[in-house]
Amino acid sequence: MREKDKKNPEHEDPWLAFIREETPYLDDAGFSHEVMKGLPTPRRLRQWILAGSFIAAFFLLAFGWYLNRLPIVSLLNGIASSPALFWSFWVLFALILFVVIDERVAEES
Amino acid sequence: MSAHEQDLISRVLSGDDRHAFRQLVLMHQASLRLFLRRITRDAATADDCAQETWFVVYRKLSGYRGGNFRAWLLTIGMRRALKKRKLHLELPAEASYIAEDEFRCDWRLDLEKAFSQLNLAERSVLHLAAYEQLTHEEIAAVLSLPLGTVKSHISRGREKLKSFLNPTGENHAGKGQEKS
Repeated sequence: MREKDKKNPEHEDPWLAFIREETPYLDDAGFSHEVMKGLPTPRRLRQWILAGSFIAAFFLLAFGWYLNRLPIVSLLNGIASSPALFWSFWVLFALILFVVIDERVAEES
Repeated sequence: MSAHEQDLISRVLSGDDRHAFRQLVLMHQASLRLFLRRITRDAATADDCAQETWFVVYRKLSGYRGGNFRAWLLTIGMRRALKKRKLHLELPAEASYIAEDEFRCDWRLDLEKAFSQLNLAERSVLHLAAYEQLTHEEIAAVLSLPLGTVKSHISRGREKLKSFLNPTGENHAGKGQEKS
């Protein structure tokens, strides 16, 4: 009898003990290897990649701004001057945000 | 939860230690897969659910607040299996399925056949009580069922198993214990 049996009177039932004894053990048979293969990128590496991307984007923007050749500036000016483009931009932004949040919620559940 | 288990969890959380996570998987894979096989009655689906469960565990490990780690793991596994198979705990017994090659002797096959006659709630509750040796309170938490319902499922499931295995009044439980 296992240690837990002694502590828990709920498990003294001979039928429960019988089920326990007769339940086969499942060998790993490569299961844990498959789990490890499917795990996402290590958290630290992911954080470094994210931080690196932000820093690179910041320097690119700063460089573009410095050269006064940043296409995004003229693009934003164009969007701001046209109400249709302005609202389309915000609808697109809201849609992207919705998709990202929805995916995150599905992942969490 | 054992100190070793706690140590492994801390190592995964603090240093993203994959070796420690693999140790956790190795420690609990049989329990989780067996439980999911009893729920889904399909080895491939159960293993898929088990794999997804470990991915969720990896993501949510920082939210684990102590207590019985296996019960926490089985709770996640149970939810994934119910969602994947679109099952509900209170459904009546489904069509019987049994993978005969997984059992090494006729006696185990009889038990699995008898198990497959129970409904999902009775199978789950009996497995958690017998094999995992969880307390009734822990089972209620894993399955999100009231304590009274858990007790009645255990009692009803046990009586059904007895009648399936013991139609002539022979004491199989005693026989099982003599064998072991």
